[in-house]
Amino acid sequence: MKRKHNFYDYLIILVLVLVAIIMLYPFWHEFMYSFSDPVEAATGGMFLLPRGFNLKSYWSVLRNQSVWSGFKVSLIVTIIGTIMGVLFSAMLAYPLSKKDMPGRNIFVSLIFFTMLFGGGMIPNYLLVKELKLIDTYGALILPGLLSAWNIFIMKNAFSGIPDSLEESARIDGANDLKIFFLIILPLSKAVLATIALFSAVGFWNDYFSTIMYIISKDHWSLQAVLREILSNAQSAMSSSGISVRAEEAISSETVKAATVMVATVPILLVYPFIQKYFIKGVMIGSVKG
Amino acid sequence: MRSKLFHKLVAMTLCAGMLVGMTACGNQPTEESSPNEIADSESENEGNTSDGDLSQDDEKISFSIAIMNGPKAENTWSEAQIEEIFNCEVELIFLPGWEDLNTKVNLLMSDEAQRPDVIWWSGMTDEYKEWVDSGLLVDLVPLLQNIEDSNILDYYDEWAMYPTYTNGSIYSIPGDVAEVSCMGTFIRKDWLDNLGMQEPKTMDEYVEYLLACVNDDPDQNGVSDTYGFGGDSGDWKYFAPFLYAYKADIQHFVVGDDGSVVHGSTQPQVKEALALMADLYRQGVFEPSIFSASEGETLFAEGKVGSFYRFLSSLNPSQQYLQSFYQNNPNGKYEVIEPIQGPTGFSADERENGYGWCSYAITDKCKDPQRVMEIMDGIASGEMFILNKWGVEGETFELTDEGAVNFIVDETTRNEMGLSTFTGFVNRKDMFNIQNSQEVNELFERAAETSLPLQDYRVILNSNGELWQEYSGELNALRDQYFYGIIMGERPIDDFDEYVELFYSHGGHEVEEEAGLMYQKQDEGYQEFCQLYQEWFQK
Repeated sequence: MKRKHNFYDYLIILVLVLVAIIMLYPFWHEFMYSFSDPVEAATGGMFLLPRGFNLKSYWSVLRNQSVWSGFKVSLIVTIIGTIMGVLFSAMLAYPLSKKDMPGRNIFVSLIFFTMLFGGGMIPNYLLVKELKLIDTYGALILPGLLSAWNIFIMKNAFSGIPDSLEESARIDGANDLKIFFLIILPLSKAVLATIALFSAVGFWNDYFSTIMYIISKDHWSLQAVLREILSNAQSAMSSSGISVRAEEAISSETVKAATVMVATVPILLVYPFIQKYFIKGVMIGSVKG
Repeated sequence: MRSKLFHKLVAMTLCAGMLVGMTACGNQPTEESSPNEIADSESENEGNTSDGDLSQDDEKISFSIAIMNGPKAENTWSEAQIEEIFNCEVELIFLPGWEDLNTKVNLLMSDEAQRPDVIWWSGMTDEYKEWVDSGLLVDLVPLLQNIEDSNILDYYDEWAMYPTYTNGSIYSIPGDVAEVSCMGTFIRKDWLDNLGMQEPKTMDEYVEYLLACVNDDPDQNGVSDTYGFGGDSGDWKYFAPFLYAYKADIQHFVVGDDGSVVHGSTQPQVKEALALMADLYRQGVFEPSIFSASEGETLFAEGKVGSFYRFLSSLNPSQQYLQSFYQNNPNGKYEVIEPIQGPTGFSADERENGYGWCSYAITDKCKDPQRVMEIMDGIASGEMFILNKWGVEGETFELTDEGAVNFIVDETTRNEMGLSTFTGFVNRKDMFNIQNSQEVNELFERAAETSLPLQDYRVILNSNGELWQEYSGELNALRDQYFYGIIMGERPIDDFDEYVELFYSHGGHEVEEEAGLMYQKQDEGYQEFCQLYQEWFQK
């Protein structure tokens, strides 16, 4: 029998719709702003539709070589970083999920320690420098490859897989590598997808690694390019008591909005494809001890 | 048992494999060498030509330069122009946005392998001194002495160069020094006409105009949708028409009645200015975002505010926000009036300190500092400035009848060409700054005069004292909390007296004493510098 909606149901729906609008409007604002004429958009206010629709801003962004090279860098870093990150996290989490692994507690403690304390910016920079990674893709990928948080989520997910499955496989002649790649990983799609999403978003949104470790512009990530374009000379410098006028700004506001769209939409498109795994994966990580 | 042992071994092998894999990846640099390495090897091949021998001018040199301005694009027309004109190869190291600028500059300077030949920075006074002390920057005096008719020395005066004077010499060049005064009081001329009022000169007339903007429908649209005064938040100079008319300079140290150095926010006339502003706030004169957001440009474009205190260059016809204003208000007209006179007859426009807000220097990494200095001096010439910032007349820009630049190529093309890339290395504000219309140029000239009263009153320090750095955060927060509170009616006007007490009980005496000593020392130092400057450059 279908339950009849009561007043509180409608109230909850109303509140959720309002929350959704509050969440979505800033994105919609930038989306509409990016399609507006720069002069007409200058008056600000609400943007439910573009003012003086034109595609000049997108044309300007797409002609910007920095955006394309940034896109290429971010794509490479995100794809390689995510694959390596998920694989290495799983390879580390799987043995740690085994209670009989020698020195397990020591490894777990060492990994946990990194959740509480970090070396800081300068030691990280020195490490990357000593590894000869400055101005390479490696500097954008390796420092963020493994996350203690992700490893523990995976470890907990692997712990939930019954030992009897492994034992059965072993009776059938499977070795540990086969068990790991052909049984454990396929059974852990949800957590792998979740970690992959966390990792991909992390790599895609990372701009600070570029600031720290990259010198040449063709190795800048898209987010670093975006941040640079968005960085408003006037406001930043005025706040420092420096008189700088608007004409020093290089990009118009609509170009900035278009750049935000170009940088944001690709990673947003990933969500629908792994949404079905996402909630399940998070739950696995959260309820197992 | 054996199975368990094997199991353990596999588990440990997986962990070890991962660690080895990471290490191996870490030791595998990409096939592409960093541009710095390339530049280094090229420089080494060319040999050291840093003996200042000008006869080497024809040799092509390579050097790297940190770039903050412009579109930050590589292999551009601008870069090619520099390389062709000065017979050099320039490696551009683009600095990130303003939020991360200092971090990046610090990293570049602290890592010898990454340090560019020419570094650019903004602020970072303490770091500059450390770089000089550590020998990371090259002494520029002998290099400048070897340049005949230096553009840099011709453009900057001793006052502008003085902050670069460290350890008895000059180690940096100001990148950009603002005009002595570049702001003014904007009003709506068309609204004045609609209201049948004359241009306000005194505070009483100005207040009458502002109230009329709120109450008398100055745009004659039948809707009460206008405000008297608006602008950006976050800086008290946007309230200059009210503060300076009362000689209230609340963000700086000033010369007190007895000649001592005191903080401007504690002076009794500030109370009068705050009382007036509180009254105007109560009557709805202020557009609310002036207290909370940086919406000045949007408000300017929208045209619903009767007066602003803004940058004079906002009146340049090329300004997007001015174009937007004319589109929204076809009959509208902004006008910049002379500073409003207060009850005592005092009036002043905002005055800049005359120091560079950014600087550049040649680092110890540079193989041929003399040649690089010559190139940087060449970039500072008026002709090169025009070429770098606007391109070629007739090809990238034309001059309007009003004498201002009008680009004939679009923004994307300008960015692709790399225009403005090198303007951080002496951003000229003289006759070569062809961006300003005749009207704006005249306003700059007038503002240089109308801001003079503030110059006599304000104490300009070329760096912040240690105590000020320690206490200023709390003192400024205290000032903002009390002053905004008073203006917005959350505090009575007499709380100003409480603020003054708190100011002095929270380190006010100490910072005033320090500022006084610094002012005196600075004055002596400036005299010493001027004497040396004369000796160095016979200017």
